[in-house]
Amino acid sequence: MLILTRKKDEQIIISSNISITILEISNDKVKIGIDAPKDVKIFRSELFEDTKQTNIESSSISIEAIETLKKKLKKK
Amino acid sequence: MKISTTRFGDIEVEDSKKIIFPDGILGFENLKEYILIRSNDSSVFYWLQSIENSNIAIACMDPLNVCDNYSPVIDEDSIKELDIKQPEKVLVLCVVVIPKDIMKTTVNLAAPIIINTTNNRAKQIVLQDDVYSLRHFVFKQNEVV
Repeated sequence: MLILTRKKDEQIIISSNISITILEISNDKVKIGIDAPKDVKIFRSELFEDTKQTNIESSSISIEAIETLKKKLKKK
Repeated sequence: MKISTTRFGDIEVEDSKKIIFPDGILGFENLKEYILIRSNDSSVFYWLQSIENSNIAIACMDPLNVCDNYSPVIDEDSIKELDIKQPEKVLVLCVVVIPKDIMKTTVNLAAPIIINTTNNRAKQIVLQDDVYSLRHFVFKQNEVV
């Protein structure tokens, strides 16, 4: 892994068409701005793990649970 | 063909009704074939029942029922993969999670399931935009029903 140290407002360029800017550093958070072509997909990596988790949780729901949910929604 | 399911018993499935997820679904990458079962005729709830594993049925709902102006942006690659030519023929569903406390039921608006009903090819799309919650509450919290 390539490791670089950057300060606020400094940038990293990846293969000439992607630029990453450090916008803000505060305590344990870093705000990052990314400029990239439209076809480059950028995700927070935990989205995949969390979606996998919700899919797995959803797959064990019973018919009864959905029926109960329907009734509660009608009362809403 | 006849398939057996844990929840719905044996069901007869026409080949033309099979929904194919070429990449599977996150968490179930090996399962590619599903059928869509609507909870009842006018229900906003659906099940994606795996044809390959009788135990697996993913509970989904029409997201417009919980988020009025839900309009996820489908990326160009997915449009190509699913061969989407008529956007109005796309069915968008979101995965439901019901915890022990049913009032804390959530819907994953951050990763909708997109079904092209013209060819029954489907995909779960993890959205790049940050606008939708992965665990969007169905009920207003602190609401008493």
